[in-house]
Parts: sequence; C-alpha cells; structure tokens
Amino acid sequence: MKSTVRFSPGRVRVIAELTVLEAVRQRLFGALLALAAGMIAGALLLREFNFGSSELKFITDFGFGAVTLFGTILAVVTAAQLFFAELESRTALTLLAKPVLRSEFVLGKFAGVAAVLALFTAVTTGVLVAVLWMRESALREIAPEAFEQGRLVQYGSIAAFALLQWLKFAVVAALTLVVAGFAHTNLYSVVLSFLVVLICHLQYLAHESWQKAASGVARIAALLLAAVFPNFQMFNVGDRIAAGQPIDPAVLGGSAAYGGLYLAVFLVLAIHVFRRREI
Amino acid sequence: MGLVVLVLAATGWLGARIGRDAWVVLKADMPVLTAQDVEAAAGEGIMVGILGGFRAVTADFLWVRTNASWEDQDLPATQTLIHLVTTVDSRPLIFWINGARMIGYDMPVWRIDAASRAGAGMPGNVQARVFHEQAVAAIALLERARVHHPNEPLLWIEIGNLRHRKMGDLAGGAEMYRQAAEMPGAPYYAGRIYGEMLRQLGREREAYDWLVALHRGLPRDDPMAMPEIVLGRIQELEDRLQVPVGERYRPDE
Amino acid sequence: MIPETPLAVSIQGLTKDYLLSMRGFRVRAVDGLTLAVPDGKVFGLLGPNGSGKSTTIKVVLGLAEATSGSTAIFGVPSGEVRSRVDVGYLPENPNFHRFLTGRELVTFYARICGVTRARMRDRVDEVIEWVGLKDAATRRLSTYSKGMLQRIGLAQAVVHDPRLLILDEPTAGVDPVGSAEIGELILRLKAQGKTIVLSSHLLAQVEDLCDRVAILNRGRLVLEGGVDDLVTEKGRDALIVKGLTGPVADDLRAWLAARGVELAAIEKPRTTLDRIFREHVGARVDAREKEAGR
Repeated sequence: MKSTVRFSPGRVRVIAELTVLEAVRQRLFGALLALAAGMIAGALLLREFNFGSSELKFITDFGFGAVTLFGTILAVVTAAQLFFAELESRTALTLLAKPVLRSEFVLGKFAGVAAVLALFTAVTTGVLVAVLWMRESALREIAPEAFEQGRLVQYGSIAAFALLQWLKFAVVAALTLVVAGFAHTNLYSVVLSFLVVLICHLQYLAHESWQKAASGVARIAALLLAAVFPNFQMFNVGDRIAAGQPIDPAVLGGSAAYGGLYLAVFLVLAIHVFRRREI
Repeated sequence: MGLVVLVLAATGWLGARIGRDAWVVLKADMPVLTAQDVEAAAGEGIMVGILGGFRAVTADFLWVRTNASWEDQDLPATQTLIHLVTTVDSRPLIFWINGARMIGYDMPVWRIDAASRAGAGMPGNVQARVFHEQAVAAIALLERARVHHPNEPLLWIEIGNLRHRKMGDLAGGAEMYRQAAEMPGAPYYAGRIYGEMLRQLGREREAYDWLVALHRGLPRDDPMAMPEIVLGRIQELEDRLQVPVGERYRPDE
Repeated sequence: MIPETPLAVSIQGLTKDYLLSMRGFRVRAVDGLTLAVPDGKVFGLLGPNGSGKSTTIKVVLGLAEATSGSTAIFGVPSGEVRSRVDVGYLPENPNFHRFLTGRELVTFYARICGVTRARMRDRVDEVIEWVGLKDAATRRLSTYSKGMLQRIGLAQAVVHDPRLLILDEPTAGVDPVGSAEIGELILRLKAQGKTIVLSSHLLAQVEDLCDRVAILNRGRLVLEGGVDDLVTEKGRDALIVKGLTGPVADDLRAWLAARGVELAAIEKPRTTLDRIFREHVGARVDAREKEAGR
C-alpha cells in the first residue's frame, strides 16, 4: 500500500473533463449561449436609430451587459447544478469511494465549470467583436469624418474586458461552490448564491456608507458587509472601454490580482467546507 | 462559520490593499448619485440596474426609448426620458447634447404643429415665446451637464448655439464660444466661429486681434485647424480696418 | 474467534449517530459494532432495511465520519484516502452519469484509479466483456436496464484490479436471472483471491455466496459466523433417498429406532422458486438481452 496519496492534477483534469462534458450536454448552457449571442447580434437593430458613431458605444454596452448578466447566471447555476448533480444522484458516492481527495473533487468541478465559462465568454465576446467590426466598417463608409483618427473601437481592450469578466465568473463559481458545500438542495444553493452575488455588486455602497451610518447597528452591519463580501465593481471596466477611453494596464492588473485573491480564498473555503460534509 | 467569516474579513482587508489603486480609477468613473437622482430613478424601478453595475446598459436602453418617443413626437415622454437617462448615466455627452437639441430645436416645432393641427394657429410672437421657452429648458439641461463635465467645451458650444439661434442673443452666444475656445481640447472651429461672431457684433478690432492670436497657435499640418481660412479672415479684416501694410500680420514672424 | 488470516476490514466499536434537527435530535444508525473481515473471503453484511449496513459501509469507505469507534481497510484508518487505493465499490442502486456510454464510464473510473494509459484500453475492454456488456458498451447508460447498471457498476469497481470489493445491495431490484449472473461474477472474483464484502437484505440470494456473515438489526450486531455453521442444524442429519414407499419407511423408522436414532420427519426435498425461475426464464432472458444489445 502506498504511504500516502498525493494530490494529482491528473485526477483533477479527469473530473474537470467529465464536468465539461456534462455541462455542454445540458440544455441550459446552450440556451444561455444562444440568448447572449442573440442579444448581442440584436444590437444591430440599433442602426435603425441613426446614432452615428455613438451606435458603437451602445452595441458595446449591450454586448458587455449580455456577457456579464448571462455569464453570472451561468456561473451560479452551472456550479450549483453540476456539484449537486453528483451529490443528489449519488454519483459522488462512487467517485469519492475511490482514492480521490476531496480537494481534487472540488477543484475538478471548479476547473470544469471554469472551462465552460471560458467557452461562453469567448463565444459571446467573439460575436460582439464581429458585430462591432461589421458596424464600424459600415459607419466608416457613411460618416468617415468621425473616424479620422482611425477605428474607434478598442478591440484589444475588449479582449482584456473578456478576460477580466471570465475571472469574475470564476470567482462567482467558486463562491457558489462554497455555498453548495454546506447547502442541502440545489435550489437553496442557487438562491443563496444569487443573493450573495447581488450583495457583492452593491458592496461598494456599504463600504462608503459605514462611516456615515447614524446608528451603531447600521455601522456594524455596513462594516461587516464591506469586510466580508468582495467588491464586484472592481471588475467593472466595461463602461470605460465602451466610452472609448483607454484602460491603464495597472488598473487591469489590480483588478485581476483582486479577483485572483478571492478566487484562491473561495476555493480553499470550498474545499474546507466540503471536507467536513458527509456523503 | 466563525473561521469562514474571519478568513473572508482578512481577505477583504488584503484585497482592499491590493486593489486600492485600481479602485480609485474605477470609482472615479462611476457617476455620483445624489439623493435627488436616487428619487428620480426609484420611481422608474431601475435602481437595481443602476446600482448593480449595469448603469451604462440601463441608460442606453432608456436612450433607445427616448429616441422612440422622439420619433413619435411625444413631448412629455421624451422630456421625461431625457432627464431620466442623464440621471442614470451622466457620462455620455451624446445624452446631454442630443437631448438638449431635441428640447431646444424639435420640441418647439412639435408644439407649434400641435397647435396648428388643433385648429388654433400660433401668432408669430407666441411662436417666438415657445422657441424661447424651449431654448431656456435646453440650456438648463446643459447647465446640469456642466456640473458633471466641467471641462467639456462642446457643452459651452451647444449653449452658445441655443443662445444665438433660438434666443437671438448673439453676444451671449459669442461669450459661450469664447469660453469654449479657451478650454483644453476645444475643437478648432470654436475659435473661428467666435471671431466671426465678434465681427457680426461689429467688434471688428477685437475680432482681428482674436483671430491673429488664434492663427499663431494653430498647427500648420492639421487640415482640421484650417489655418488658411483663419488667415483669409484676418486679411479681410485688415482691409476693412485699413491696417497699414507694415503693421499687417505676417504668419511667419 | 480471531481469524488467523490478515484482516481486510477491521471495525472496532463503531457507533454512528445522525443529527435529525437543529434541536439536537439524533438517530443512532450503528451501535457499537465490532467486526473483522478476513482477507480472501466473501463476507456478507446482512440485515433488513435500516439495519445500518449502508452506514457501516460509508464509514468504512471514509464517506462518513464515525461518532465513536474506528474502522480500517488493510490496517489503514478509513479517514485516510490511501485506505481506498485497493478498494472497489458498488453502491446501492447505483446511479452513474447517464450521459456517458458504458465504455466511457469504465474508462473514466480507470483513469481516476490510475490505470496506466498503456493498459487502459485493454483493461476496459476486458472488464466490460467480463460483465457481459460488450454489445452494450457504446450505448448511453440512460438506456441500460437495472441489471445492466449493476453489471457496469461491477465493471467500474474492478477495473483497477482492487484487492477488496465492497458491494452494497448488488442484486436489489434485479430479477433472479440477473441476480444469478451477478452471483457468478462474485464467485469468479473470489476465485481470483479477492476479498468481497457483500451487503444485502435478500438473505436467500446471498446464502450461496458468502463464507462468513454478520447479521445486523437496528444498528446492532445480532449474529456472526461462518455460513455453514449458521445454517446447519445441529444434532440433525438429512438423508436423500429415492423410491421410498410407506412400508419401507416404517421399516426404516424401526431400524433407526433400534439404534437409538429418531426419524424426525419424512419430507420431500425442496428446490427454491428462485432456481426454478432461473432454469425456465434464464435462457429466454439471455437471448432477449443479446438481441437488445445489438
């Protein structure tokens, strides 16, 4: 008998591959992908309003909004669903009765979900870039004076946006796995995770208001919210890019480091919580 | 559970330090919401959208509705939506400038047409008052815009146009153009038009001095600067003002 | 009696409570269980539904934590992942990833258990053929019958050639023909020298398979011992004769009585309904399944 079972990236990869296969064969992924891509392509209808070069800002805003909204939904639902599918159907019983570390299971699930989210982000961003390219090319013919400095859309920044959003989705997925680790039903996991994600989007208000809060209870509540929940507005670089303003790589780096920190912490917490769970 | 909260709190503390510089930049991009803004937006039930990071999309969506109302010549709806859009997201200039144009140029025509269709024709003085009222409303919108964009010359130019064309106030319009022309990043035409406005006001000497100073600062290699046009106007003014040949402006000096 | 062969599974004073509500109500699923499963034997963990069999197995496999007591596999405490390196497990009413084919499932578990790439393909083919699912290997598991799911479950349990197999209710919900086939597979595994722990509430079905059994009821051990010892009636012998008529029976009774042996009863030997079913239905089911597999 081996003296110890070491952590195996190979086993993580096997579990991740199975997770990807399961996710892609589910209808939800295809539905959300089609919906997001459809919304982005639907932005082409904006040309009816003759906004001129501003139309590109609107397309970008709608595109970013679709990617962010549907990507967040996908992250929560897929992470919860794929995790719970194993527990509720008891396929986890067979798997965890093998020499598989609980950490390998959690990380394998996460890696699979992250791969699905990467695919989603890549496809929807690709559709957005294609739509923008088409419209920008058409608008350059119609109103060349607005394009005297060259193309207005910063495609490099859009790619950076996509990477940062994928990181955000990964953080959301990891957060969902923490919740799923102690939840008893899929529905509970999804609802609680969405609530936490909403709080994280509004965390910056708590951070600003805790000092201004009148009562001690309000101060403590605001301080707790600000301290415990991550600030998802740290990933909100889309507005700046859509307005055609450059993004400082240092800002992107700071946001990425922030996201990376929370990703690591949530994954560690998810493993810790799941280790104590009885199957 | 206690351990989890502690770990998250520690992460929050560390994360705040790691992301501090980035947050300063990102926070500056986020429009500040006043209590009035919150009240205005709350009535439309879009608070979660604007607070949750979907501000730009929400505003864009409302702007599309604004344009739909504008196509229908629905004055109350268009006016309300313009105010709502600029409340939700004050950053894009297109909302302020196009909104002001709708209020200042299109809405008076709608009002006059509506009166005409109702069988009550509007006498000329009443029409003038309508144009004046709408121009005042449009300028009020642009004054609000200047609070959010204190260094944006296009807003000054827009106010100047409304004062000049819709309120008949050439001097007031000229002053706006002057202020715009002196701001960093102002379009080249702002200086040219101010000079022309001074000439129309009969302040030809002032126009001449202004255009000479302007021409000296114009780049010669940028076609948008149109230095040859400015030079042409300087030479016209020199003839009108009968400036002695020896004192005339020489661009190369 | 302490077995002389090394222990495959050792359970010492195992107690497992489940918390039912926030107010602290607990239900005791296993109560002070002590068992020793010798290596190389088929050990039956028997008992009615709710007797604690599955809970005991979960604790042994490290899927649940003991409230008190200890369990070990080949001397390694169950809490350590390495205790499961040489273990294959077939859960009760197995539910596998329905979107996978039979081959994909077995390959997945082979990769998880560290079967080398070089051996992978051959080993997967081998175990699939061994469980008799070669013709159904490319079908999705969602199309499998109950018996087929049990057999593919066995395949994934043995693909990495473990020393110990733990089978939780392997014949539950399976018809007698399918149960017999699974029984034959189990005996073949025993012949290979594997240790098998078999949990079931269908006592008659597993009687022929086990060397030793432990019977649980309401979480407690009520009986343990070798199967032969337990089922053999002490102090009575049976003779099977042909052509016994009334007068001959009387003579026999008198002859035995003269030697101090009481002829307690004359009965017709009985087979089991299970065996009759298998004999008559088995052949037809075989043919139908093979046809469906195409």
